[in-house]
Amino acid sequence: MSRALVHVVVDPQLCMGSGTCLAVAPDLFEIGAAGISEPRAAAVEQNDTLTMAINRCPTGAIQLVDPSR
Amino acid sequence: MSTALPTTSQATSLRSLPRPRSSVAAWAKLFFAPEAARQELTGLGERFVLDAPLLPPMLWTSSPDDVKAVFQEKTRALSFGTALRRLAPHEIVFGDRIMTWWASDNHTEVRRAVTPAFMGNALQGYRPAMEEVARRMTGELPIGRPIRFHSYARTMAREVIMSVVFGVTEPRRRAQLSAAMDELDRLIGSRGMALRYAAAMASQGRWLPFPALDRVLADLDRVTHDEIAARRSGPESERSDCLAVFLRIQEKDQHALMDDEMIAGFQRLLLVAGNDTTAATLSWLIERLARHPQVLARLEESLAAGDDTYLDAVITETLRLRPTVPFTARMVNRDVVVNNIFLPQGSMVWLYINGIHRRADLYDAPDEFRPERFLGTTPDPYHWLPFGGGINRCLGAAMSQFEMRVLLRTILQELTVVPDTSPGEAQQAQTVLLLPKKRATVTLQPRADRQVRS
Repeated sequence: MSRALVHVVVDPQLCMGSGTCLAVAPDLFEIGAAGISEPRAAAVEQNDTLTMAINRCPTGAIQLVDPSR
Repeated sequence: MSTALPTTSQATSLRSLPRPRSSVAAWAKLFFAPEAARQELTGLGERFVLDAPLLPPMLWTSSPDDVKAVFQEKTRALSFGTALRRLAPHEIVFGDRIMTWWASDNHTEVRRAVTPAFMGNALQGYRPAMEEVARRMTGELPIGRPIRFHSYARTMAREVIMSVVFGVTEPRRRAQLSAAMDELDRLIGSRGMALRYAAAMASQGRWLPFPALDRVLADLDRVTHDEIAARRSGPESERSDCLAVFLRIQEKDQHALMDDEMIAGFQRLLLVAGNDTTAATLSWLIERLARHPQVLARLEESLAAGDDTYLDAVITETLRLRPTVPFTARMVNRDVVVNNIFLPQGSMVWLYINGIHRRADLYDAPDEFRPERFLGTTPDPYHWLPFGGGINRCLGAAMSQFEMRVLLRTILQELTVVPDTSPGEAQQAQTVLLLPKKRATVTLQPRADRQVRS
């Protein structure tokens, strides 16, 4: 059973490159050349690790966009 | 949530929120009797207002939703840098360059550029020097009699700064650095500083010149500049201290954000922000472990098994119950609505860390020291904020936790803390830091499974 995919977006204005999301979900995020977190894949399956990465971001820079909307 | 232009009249006004009978008395109590202040003021509700002469109107909040809205405020209506300028001596200690950067538009850009020096691989690079300091200093800790651990913790944190941040090994330069650090300590605790602080409060943030302080800061900067010059003229080396990391960042920096002056500023920032805070938390850790032998036993067991997860939980729980800085503040630069509260320009919002960390709806038995609560989870940034949050979250947060991990682990490999059944030490304010009142008075013993020291 596969769950719906969600789009992960990091707001470049808010992200300060703290690396919190990497620590929580190293499979999902990396720090790019600009020192900003970047999702490794644009669309992923929603899971607890992703939710925790979103909730733990100190600037609230990570957002989910439902592609069906 | 978050922010909008203040067009809605439904927003809560500061006027409608509770306030203590005397704002002046409450303000003083927050510093001089922090625990009594917490109990009394959180009794007013999760939000209260202080309105004291010479100070801006202040909203104090222990609401996680307010915390989230403040940390995620994007319009730059709330400024940490301006709050520091108004209420703390940062401007004269860190210098105009760093303060201007702090309040500027390229704050985030510079911050992203230097962040690698404070996490991941860089931290691993600092480990050997930290361990060396910890082993050396552990060997000098008196055993078998009560000591005020805080003074030893300060020496440890200071040695880490010298070796890991400044990376100064050449003896003459190390002596210069040590002398400048002593003099800086003396001046920060001096009557001259207290007078200038009072004058700055009374004049709403204007700092009188302090030539003696300027001289010692110039001495510190000279150490950095001499060290940079020595490294540039010397053979290529594989150094892994903060200065080396900053220099590597500078080499790759295409926007010239990190010139030598900025590096010296950051070194100074790390010295002032990273020394007393780390020493305070290390002291609280030892104070808490002396009062909780069962936690200490479990910690010793887990460390012996090579597992750091319980150690991390102990540090996280200590920072929850005994945050060294019990609040953080933002100045309101222009009228703004934050989480449906109208904040007028010129007011301040204070996040009451000590209040948030003790909310019974966020933490079971919030007054109890229970590291287990943090096992298998990372703390929520709006419920646990000893390092502040948002774009101004403490740059050294990960480094400080890493340092405490290394120092505490190394101490506990050799020594154990004798249980103490007396009540825990009260929180006592020294400037804005909360220290154990008896400076973590504990007795250390060699571990039973270790040879007695010769």
